[in-house]
Amino acid sequence: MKVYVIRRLGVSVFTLVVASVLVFLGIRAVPGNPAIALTGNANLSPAAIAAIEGQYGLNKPLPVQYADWLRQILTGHLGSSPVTGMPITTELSSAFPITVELTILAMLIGIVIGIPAGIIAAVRRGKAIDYAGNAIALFGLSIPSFWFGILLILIFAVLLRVLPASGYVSFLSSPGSNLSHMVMPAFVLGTGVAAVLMRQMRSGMLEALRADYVRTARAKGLPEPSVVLKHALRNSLVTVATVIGLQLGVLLSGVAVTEEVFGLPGVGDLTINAVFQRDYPTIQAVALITAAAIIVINFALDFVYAFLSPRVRVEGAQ
Amino acid sequence: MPAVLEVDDLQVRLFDRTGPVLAVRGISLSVRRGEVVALVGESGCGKSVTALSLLRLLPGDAQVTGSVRVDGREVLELSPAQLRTIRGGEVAMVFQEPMTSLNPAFSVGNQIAEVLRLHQGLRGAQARARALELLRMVGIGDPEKRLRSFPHELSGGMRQRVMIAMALAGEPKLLVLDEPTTALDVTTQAQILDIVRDLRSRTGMAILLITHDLGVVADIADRIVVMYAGAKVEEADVYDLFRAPRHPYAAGLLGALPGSAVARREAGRLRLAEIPGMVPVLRAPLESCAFAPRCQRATDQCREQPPLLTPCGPADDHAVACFHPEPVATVPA
Repeated sequence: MKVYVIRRLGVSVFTLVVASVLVFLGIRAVPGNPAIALTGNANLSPAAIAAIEGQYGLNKPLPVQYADWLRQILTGHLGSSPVTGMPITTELSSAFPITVELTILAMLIGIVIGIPAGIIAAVRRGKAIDYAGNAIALFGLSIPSFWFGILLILIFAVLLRVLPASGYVSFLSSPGSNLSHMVMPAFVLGTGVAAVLMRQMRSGMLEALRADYVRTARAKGLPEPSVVLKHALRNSLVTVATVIGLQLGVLLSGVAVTEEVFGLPGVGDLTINAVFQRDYPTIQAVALITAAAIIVINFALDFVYAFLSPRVRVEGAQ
Repeated sequence: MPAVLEVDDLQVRLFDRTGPVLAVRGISLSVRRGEVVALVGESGCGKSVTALSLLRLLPGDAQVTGSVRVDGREVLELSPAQLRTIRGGEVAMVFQEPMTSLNPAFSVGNQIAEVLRLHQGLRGAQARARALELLRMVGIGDPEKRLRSFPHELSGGMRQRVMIAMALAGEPKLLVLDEPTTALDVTTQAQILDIVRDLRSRTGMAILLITHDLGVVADIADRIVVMYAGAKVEEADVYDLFRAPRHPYAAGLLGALPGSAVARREAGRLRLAEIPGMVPVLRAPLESCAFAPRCQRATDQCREQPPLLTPCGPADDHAVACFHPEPVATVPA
């Protein structure tokens, strides 16, 4: 087990390094000069461009720039955004909590709706409730989040006036207000997650219900809820856990469209602005932290697998 | 002695993509306390379907008619709650595939404890002690360790022992073994059969053994029911059937068994006899003998009306469904 964890940590660090190189090179490969984007002046003289590039170290060779960046990361001094002048750590620490909260709420909504719906659809396969569930899930997958978001704003903010249309209040300053701002975007994202989870849960459950061990469980005289919720569920959750992990990654990397619709200054919003402004340091920092978060999610997922499937436990330990 | 299991005119109709299949066509059989009855036939003859229908474990769209009585109670008419007391309690089943019949996500102890909790009301330390006892009973070494093991950590034979221990946990009156040794290697097969034989002499349980392997039957059964295409074609004491099978199909099965009296009788031949052709899948009731297309003794009569099961002798509990049964030959013992 110890060897396994150490090896996984090694792989994670390697993945992070590769991700950092790709991000570093990728953003520089995008057309557009940061000095021009920064000043907003397309006719900037070569001397002025050189001056700005010198100010931010952009005239140094790429490996040196990369080494500088790496040193900044390791010492925790990410510097300031050349665009906003704000320290990048401040920008990140204001954007990430919003996106993390949104991710958690959306995932909770997705799980609470999607998993029971998938189980019910599988158990009642071919019945009206199965078809209804599938139809709703298809609807949830098909409608664009911006449209659904605007629809919700129209209903709950404009017509009923029970929820704020946009903006953000931190949870610590006012939990109630925070949640009232979060509920609609979380619901928009959560229903999308629910649709994916429902379909995965349904197919996993159908497969498990056909398994010999489910017949054994019935032959033992177990009541149907135990057969489904103990014997079949545990085995079908492995694939569902994978999908939850993937969805967490998607949500955490910032769901820009939904954040824009609801005026939430989260990671998606930060990323979009940074990309438009060619704000290299900010983009790099956001991308690296997101990559790190996804690696942590996958790491955690391995433990979930081991819990769900003892076979993985043994293979992992070898 | 009263029968623990009485099956009367059991008919099962299953549905596949192309329509209904007459999987079981009027099977009647009974198993008394302490008796081992073998249900024998080729793959696809309906023997496993018969076994599953005893506990109503067939898919929901299966149509089952007739009567299945366990200790006098009609299983086919029980409410779901009553059915659950029969399943695992009065009647326990061991399935063919020990690899997939245990749940990979739960420990052996957990899966045995479920039965003990349901049918014996045992929990905690009591359940654990009883589970250890059961594992010892089926010859599992180091039972304390095995209780914590997961199915993938066990060999096929070991898993089948666990399945048997789990079946015994409910102290059933009838144990149904559906091809219990088919997936195992020969040495392990013998060990599992030893356990079954031992259980029968120790507990007096009634056992219904479903198999295509006549070698297994000769070893432990008292009576044999031979099935073909969903119907019973012959029933006899195991000794009578091995000595003098009357149905051409039963004789064919024995001819394919090395060392059997029938095979020895035809010892002039260099190889074991096989039965040509395959078991038919029946979609409509037959107006003929189902075996006729494969039968060397078949006549026009066999192709025009189905034979009924009738007593045929020499023993009085020997019955066969055939117009032209094999003659009772004198076989050197």
